[in-house]
Amino acid sequence: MSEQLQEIRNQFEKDLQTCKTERDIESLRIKFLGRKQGLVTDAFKLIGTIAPGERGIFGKTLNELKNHIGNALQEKADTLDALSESTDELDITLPGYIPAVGRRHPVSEIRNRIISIFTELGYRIEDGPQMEDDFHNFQALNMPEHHPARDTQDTFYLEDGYLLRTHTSPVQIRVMQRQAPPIKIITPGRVYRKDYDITHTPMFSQVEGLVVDKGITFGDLKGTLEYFTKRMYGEDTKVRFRPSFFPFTEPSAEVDISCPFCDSGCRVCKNSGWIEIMGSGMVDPAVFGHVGIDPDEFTGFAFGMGIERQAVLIFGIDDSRLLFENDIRILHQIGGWQ
Amino acid sequence: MRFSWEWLKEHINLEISANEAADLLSLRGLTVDEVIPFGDDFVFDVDITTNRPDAMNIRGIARELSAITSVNLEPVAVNYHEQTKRAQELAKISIDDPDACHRFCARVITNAKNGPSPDWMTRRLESAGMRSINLLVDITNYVLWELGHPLHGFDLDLLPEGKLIVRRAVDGEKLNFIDGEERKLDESMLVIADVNRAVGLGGIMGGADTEIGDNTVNILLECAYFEPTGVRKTAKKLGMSTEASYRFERGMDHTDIPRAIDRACSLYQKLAGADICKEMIDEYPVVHQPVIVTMNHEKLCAFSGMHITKETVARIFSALDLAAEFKETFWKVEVPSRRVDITREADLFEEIIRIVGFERIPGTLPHVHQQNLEQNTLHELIDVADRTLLSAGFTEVINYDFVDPEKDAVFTPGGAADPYKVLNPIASPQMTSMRQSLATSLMMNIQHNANRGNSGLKIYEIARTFHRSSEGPVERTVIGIALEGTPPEKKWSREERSADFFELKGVMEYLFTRLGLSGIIYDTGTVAFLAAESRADVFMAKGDLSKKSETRSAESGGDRLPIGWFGQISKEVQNKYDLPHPVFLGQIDLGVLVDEPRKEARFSRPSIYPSVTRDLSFILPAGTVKDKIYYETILETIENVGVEELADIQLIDLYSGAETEGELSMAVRVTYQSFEHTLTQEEIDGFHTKIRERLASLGVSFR
Repeated sequence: MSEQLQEIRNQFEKDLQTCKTERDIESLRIKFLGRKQGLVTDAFKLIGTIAPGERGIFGKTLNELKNHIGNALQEKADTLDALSESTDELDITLPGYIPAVGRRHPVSEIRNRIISIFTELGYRIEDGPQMEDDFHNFQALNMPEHHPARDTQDTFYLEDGYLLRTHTSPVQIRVMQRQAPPIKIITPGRVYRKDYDITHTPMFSQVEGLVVDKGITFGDLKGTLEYFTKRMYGEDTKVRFRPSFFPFTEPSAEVDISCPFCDSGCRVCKNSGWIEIMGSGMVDPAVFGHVGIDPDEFTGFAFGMGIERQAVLIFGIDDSRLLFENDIRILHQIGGWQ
Repeated sequence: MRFSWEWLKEHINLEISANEAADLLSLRGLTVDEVIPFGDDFVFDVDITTNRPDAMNIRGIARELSAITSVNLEPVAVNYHEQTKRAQELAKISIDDPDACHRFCARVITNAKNGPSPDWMTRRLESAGMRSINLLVDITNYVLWELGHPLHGFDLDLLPEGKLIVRRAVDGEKLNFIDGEERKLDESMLVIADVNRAVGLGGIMGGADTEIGDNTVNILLECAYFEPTGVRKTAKKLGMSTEASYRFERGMDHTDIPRAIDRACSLYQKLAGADICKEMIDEYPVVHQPVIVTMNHEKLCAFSGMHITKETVARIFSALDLAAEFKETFWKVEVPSRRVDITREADLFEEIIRIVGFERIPGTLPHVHQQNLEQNTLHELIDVADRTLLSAGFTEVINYDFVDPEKDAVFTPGGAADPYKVLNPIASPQMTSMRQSLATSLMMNIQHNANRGNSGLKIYEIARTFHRSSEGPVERTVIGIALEGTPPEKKWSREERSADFFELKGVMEYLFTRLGLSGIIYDTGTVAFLAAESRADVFMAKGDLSKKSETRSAESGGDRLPIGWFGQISKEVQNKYDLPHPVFLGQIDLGVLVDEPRKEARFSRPSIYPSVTRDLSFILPAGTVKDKIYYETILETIENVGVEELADIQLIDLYSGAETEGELSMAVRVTYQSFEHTLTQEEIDGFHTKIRERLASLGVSFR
């Protein structure tokens, strides 16, 4: 008798293969489990005709078959449901709505990255006038009237003896004039030099920093700027300090970083593998003299960097003058992930 | 400064490559910008800092390399025979102004044979970027490059009695220079003169009339020390900058002058077969005093952040030709006259640290004691404004602070009052005046973008404007905002609105809320470049903070602080700038808000009982300016009814499609909510009836 059950099962498996719609499922259910003439239903009626010894096994197998068919049909129905639902599915390849947020100017973007690294180290932000006088911009910084170093900072002069500051260093002077050490500040701001070409704009921005306290060392200057450059350009960045000259620091050092764009020389680093990104040095005792800080008691370091130069490097802008044309298509390309 | 590697090696015989030498120089103080192939040789391009005139010559660079590598310098070849005839018999020097000319040396050279220079000399001059002229002139340039002393040769036969006088120029005195130009001098300038006239400008350039020419055979060769500031002032005044003036301005070496002349004489004899008269004429009225500097050894270590041994210091001083002795705690150092940059202890620290090598000093983070923690309020306000505007969809622009004064006058409310002018602008008139309004720049941005087909701008700038006051210049930190057109279609399923007055007003309101400011008053606008029908001036109520925000105060003037303006630019301005869409501009003075009280938003627990909204639709009658009913009046009227359960009032509709001309149809939604119980229908009806009655008494009619 069990061959007969096997045959029903085979029949079902075969029919299930061709089953495509809900109506197909329903007709299968009727064919096998229908109350009146279902093949399985009919098989139950045979139980009484089977020898008592085999009856148990037959019943068990029959029950299994009944459950199997029921489950298989349900499963089939579920799949068909899922398929039919998918006709209402969204076209997820349609574009999303871009939130209408604004973009920071690339220069501000870089300025903020620089500022956040220093504020995290406990630096305070200071600012001062952009229209400066000769004393704060030059004399107090150890550049008396006929100092040759003035030639390197081609100055815009204004009426009444004022000038447009050529660096944010006069802010350092003003802070040292009004506040006794300890001092630990950065001075972001706009500065001006008479220059206009692919790498120079008549107005640009700087972030300078100043630390003055007892026992500040040249090693502190190095460690601070190493920390900054690695945070800014990545921890694998190498830093190199080259002796240089600024009238307001002694000794002075230019700071180079290993070129972030190449391993062995490229156009950006002029094949040297290094890119100069800032100037620095220990505060010259003559500067302390101008602001009434005792150079025998206090030492300090200062550093300064141009922001546009770094923005141009980081974003790959090939003409820094574009930064001030404010073409919205360019402004919308850049910034915003930090 | 450029020179060939081969020339440098004549002074120091290094076993390293040109690139290695360049790296050593760069890391110890003389930055080599480039090493350029030059045939089978190299040209070094060295950037020598202004404090190191001693290194602005090949010998000086060799000296640095010697100090770095401990390889000895080769001697400078100086050898020639002197004639029996004394120089003094043929030439006389006198210095009238010893303050300006501390030393003046000269030699007399006779029977020189001029002609082309030998190839090796021409090539070396070429490596330095100099063109060969003739042998007798080339030798002076060659020695300048080699030893750093500017030399000048006069044709002796053109100097009456062979006499030179160093004196001040006479006002209006003229001099024909070797560059072919005649310049007028004044009495602040120092000249070299013969008995009749000026023949050279001290430390800057010689005269054409007495220069060495093709037929010159007898030369008066001079080399001097001119005081730096005088040379610089004269060079600046005349707009001249020469290899000589560049060096004299930075300070030359008093004591090395005779050697430079001797070196040139050796070359004149060897290459031009010249005779050298006996003795050097040496007028030396201001004798160089040796400079002694002391340095505390412990302080050096504390300053650098690293222990440096006395042996190291001694070795470095010796390598740099600094005669030093150590006494108890101090080094006593005699500085050679060429090192004009070393006068103080800090200068010696620098020498030691740079030769030890910056890379050897370990980096540390400073321990700084607690500084004052005073807040930078302005920076905080800028930061909040910046983030608010970005989140409101505005893009930041940065503009030059100098603008065209005529345009600035248009966009400065009340007209630009006498702006600060840049005396030497880079472009005129576009960059000649310090802007008094950010609107000037924002309009340029809109025009620039419109010309490129970019529309839907939402931009802002936070920057300073510049003004005059009786106490000098005043800088105000302001926010400029501009809106124009319809933002590009970013949302394909939603409708975009083009910019309008209330969008800009909304930005202002949002901004003030975020800044924590209340008591803001919007009043009828007065700014001339904005359209009369859609502009506003913004004020802040002084003192009384209980006053509700957004009160259109009837009693204008009084105790209120002007803080800005906004609105739509007039049709006239829009046409003048040829702009396709209306532009909405606003400016807020952040600087004046620094001292105003600000309130951080505080928590208040929402009611647990349900709220109920009811709408009120009514028609505002057509009115004259005088009896016009403002929205603000509607608001105040509803509030003044005194319903405690009144939670909110929102404008939900406004249109002018009413039956009669001038009538406005308005709908407001009123929300009621109690903190004590669930409001009943009767209570709400009661509130609502009261409000309707009060509004009706204003003159509005309900539908």
